[in-house]
Amino acid sequence: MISPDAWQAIWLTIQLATLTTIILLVISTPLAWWLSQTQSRWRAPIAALVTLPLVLPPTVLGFYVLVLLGPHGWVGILTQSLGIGLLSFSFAGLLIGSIIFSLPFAVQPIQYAFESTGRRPLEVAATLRARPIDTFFTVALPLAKPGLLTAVVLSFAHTVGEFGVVLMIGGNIPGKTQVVSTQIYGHVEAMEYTQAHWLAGGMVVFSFLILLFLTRLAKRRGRIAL
Amino acid sequence: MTAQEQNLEIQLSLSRDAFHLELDLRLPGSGITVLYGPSGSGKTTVLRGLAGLDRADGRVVIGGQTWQDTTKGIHLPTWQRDLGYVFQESSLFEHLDVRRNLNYGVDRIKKPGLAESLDQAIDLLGIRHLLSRPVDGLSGGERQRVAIARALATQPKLLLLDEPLASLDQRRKQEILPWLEGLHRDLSIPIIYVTHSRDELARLADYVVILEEGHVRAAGQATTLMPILGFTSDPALKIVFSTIDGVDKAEQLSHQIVALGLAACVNIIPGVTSIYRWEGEIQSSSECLMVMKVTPNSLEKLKAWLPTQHPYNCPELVSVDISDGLAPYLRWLHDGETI
Repeated sequence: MISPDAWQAIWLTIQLATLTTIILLVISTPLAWWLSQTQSRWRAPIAALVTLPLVLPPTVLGFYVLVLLGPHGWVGILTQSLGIGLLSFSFAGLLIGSIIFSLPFAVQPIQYAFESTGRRPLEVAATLRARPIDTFFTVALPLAKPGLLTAVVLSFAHTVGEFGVVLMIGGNIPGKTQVVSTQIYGHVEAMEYTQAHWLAGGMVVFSFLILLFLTRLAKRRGRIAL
Repeated sequence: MTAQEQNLEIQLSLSRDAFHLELDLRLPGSGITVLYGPSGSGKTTVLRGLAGLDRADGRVVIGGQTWQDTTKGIHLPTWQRDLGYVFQESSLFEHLDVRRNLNYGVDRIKKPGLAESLDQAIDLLGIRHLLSRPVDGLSGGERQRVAIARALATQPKLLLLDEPLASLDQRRKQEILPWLEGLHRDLSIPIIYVTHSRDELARLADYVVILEEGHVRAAGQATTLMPILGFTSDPALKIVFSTIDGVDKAEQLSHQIVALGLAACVNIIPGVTSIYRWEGEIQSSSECLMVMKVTPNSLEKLKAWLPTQHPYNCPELVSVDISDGLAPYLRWLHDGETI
């Protein structure tokens, strides 16, 4: 059955995924807005940079984040001088890695939603005396709701499902950085197949439910924002 | 408000690839001005420039308020220009119902009496029964009526309508036109209406601006310009005109001219003293201008025939070659300059 260790890993996973999703939403919405509106020459390089985590092996990403956070990395030096200490092999480090790893999954659906809204509703709002910031909150954001919802579900699910980055940055420390995916790995290594089955099966059911929800959502909205 | 403030002063220039827009217009401060021209002539570009949606250089002064003046570095963003804009295709906010669409502009403007003007707009466009409906259940015609009411309710200094009927089928067009004609009767807000439909031009225009390739080809009161618009710029034909004292006489003459085959088409423009003083002093209210389209062959016959009919009332017969288009001819009529 599910051991206390497993519950701990599940709870940590949920915490990590929830925090990652919230922070990603805050970062990705303005980023996606900028990408969808700008004609700057920086658009293409930034867009490529945001998409990079999608194609890079998680170990590559994890490795660089680890180096950055480590005692000789810029971030590591900064956090040490601020008296926070090192973030590698900690929950905060894990969170940073997760955010970077899932960034394209949050930015792209939101950006797509902003782009498919087009310029017209924004122009209409301007002719009705709405300031740009007002237009953003009362027109652009509500019209991008399906994209925002997709971003939330995908970021959450993707964080729950990650393994490589977590292992690289967080190690596999129970109660601190051990999440479901890394625990399954541990169980398999220790030949504890029953425990591995419980957790792995749970992940399959969870992922299936997420996808089912997304499909339902897309059907109700009449369009897919994936 | 002084006469100066009632005028709309529009001076815009813009270049985009091979397209150049260059216009300098003074439009009446009330009634419907129809911006007429083929597609690609720059009609929508003018509206977008006026609204500040696209960047154009120049000077725009509406109702005494300077919206932009490039030489002085003034350029108000769209949301600071007191205008209403109705786009060609339905542009209602899909996430709001009809009532909240209508309130969107009203909520953002501090002017006295907006609640009443919204109420009036709702009645004027006949959409009271739609207020609580979601937008996606409306027909194309209903959507455009809501869009027009939404723009009207803000009591703008200028209402811009960009081919509001173009995306509708004939039946829907006929459904909306009466409402637009109603605007015309009941409102003092100046309206600039873009269209390439002759039908809409004929039904709505008080003042006409004809645009071609980004330039004003002719501008004037609809009553003066419309009869001339019946002419095409066929290089094989000449336009001939003559002043006649007496509308009845002119009509009688025009019938005879057409019957004799001297001219293909005759239009009578009442209330014009002389072809050299187009909109000048009118000495006798019965004086009018006959404008005829003739072939070079029948021109000689017409020249011989017309004075013999009315030696005292046909002082002169002037022919104008229209192979270069109507522009110089119309400008001449309008400004009284000699060609």
